[in-house]
Amino acid sequence: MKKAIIFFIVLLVGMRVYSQLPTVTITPSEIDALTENVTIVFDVTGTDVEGVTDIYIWAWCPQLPDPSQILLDYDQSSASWGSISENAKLMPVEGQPNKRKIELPMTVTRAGVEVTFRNMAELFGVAETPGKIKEIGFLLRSQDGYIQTPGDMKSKITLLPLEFSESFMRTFPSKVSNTDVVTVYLNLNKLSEAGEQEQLLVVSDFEAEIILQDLDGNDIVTVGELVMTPEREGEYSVTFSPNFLGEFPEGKTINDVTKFTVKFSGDLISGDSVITTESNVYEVEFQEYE
Amino acid sequence: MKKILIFLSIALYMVSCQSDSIPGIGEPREYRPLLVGSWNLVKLTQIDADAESKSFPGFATSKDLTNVFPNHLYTDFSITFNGDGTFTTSLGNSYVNMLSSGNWALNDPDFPSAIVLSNEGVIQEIGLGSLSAIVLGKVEFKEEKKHPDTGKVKIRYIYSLEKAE
Repeated sequence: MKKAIIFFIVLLVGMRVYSQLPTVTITPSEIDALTENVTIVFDVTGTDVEGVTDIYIWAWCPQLPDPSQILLDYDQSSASWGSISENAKLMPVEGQPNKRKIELPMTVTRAGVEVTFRNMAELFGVAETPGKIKEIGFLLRSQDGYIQTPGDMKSKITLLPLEFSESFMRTFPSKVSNTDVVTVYLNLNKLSEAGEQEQLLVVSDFEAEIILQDLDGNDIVTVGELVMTPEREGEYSVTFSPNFLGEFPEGKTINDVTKFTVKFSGDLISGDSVITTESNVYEVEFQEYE
Repeated sequence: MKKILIFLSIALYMVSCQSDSIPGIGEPREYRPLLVGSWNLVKLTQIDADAESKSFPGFATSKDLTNVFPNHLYTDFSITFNGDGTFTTSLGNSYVNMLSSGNWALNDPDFPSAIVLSNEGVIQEIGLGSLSAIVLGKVEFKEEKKHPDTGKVKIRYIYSLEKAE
């Protein structure tokens, strides 16, 4: 009996660890904070909320100050995990028991007043400053909150930016395919926001290592020591064409490449010694363009 | 004197209100003979169409790629359109992706928006930018990358070429 209990506990823990994230399909596939007529479908197959009749969305925008939650989650001045609003209940999808959806525009009653949300900016109450919203984290949960999918931005929706904002690493163009010329920028002015080590500020000459990878994250082409060019104050860049970055192994072509990683490094001279300092690794997914 | 001034004012007003004859737009320009000859690539610009539509700063909207690869200069590229409908390209060390030879034609002889290159069943359509400066020996090719679902242009490449002397 004892063994059976231990077995079930291990099984339950295992199921919890390996529970899947909901799959999200957004129509149209690319949206910004002001895009109207949006449908977001959540497939909860294999997640902890599969089988839960009424599924609620708990969503937040990390770029917003508290309350950063979606207005659907609360009726009064702030969100409370223990008393989620009925407005956050997802709509069923006909004939698809494991799918739920949100459709914009949507009309709900908040604090006794009928409100229509036409886009993401309005859903977060920032219609006047829509550019603030860049990504949305979410989890799906039961009404009481005892059953939920993973949080901590494990599930997120990235929006097309409405305003240009500097970042430690960016690409030009901001979204590229594997057949485009890609320029990667490193901006030291955004070092602390990226949680990078401050030694990078005193590095003299920067180099980049770029790795082309397939869908499963297997390395296809690795090229290091790409010399970066100074651009604006505190900014460096390196440009590459994925198809010509390096020699592809036999049986692999540019068509196998779905993403790349980039890591910056440079030498820090301290007295007679040279210390190589490296940044974190950044991953960029290639788009599919026609 | 006052009556004369009023009369002149009315007369000027009436003359100014007469409808101007609208000149004809003339015969369509024949672009094909203007394209015949050799063209050298002088500049390649990459444009982030999303950033452009949102009026992002210039450095986040376009990039001059002409000399970004010092050993693979885009200025190595040239193309020759022959009067007999054939063409040849010289890529040099550049990364330009274009057929090396074959036949060429305009997609519309009077109002062309593209040059159609073909070689043994392989067809490559090269978009044409503004043709306003073609008489000055300047032409723009354009290549657009579109989102497969929305059809929106996401990235645009502008190839600026000048006619060889």
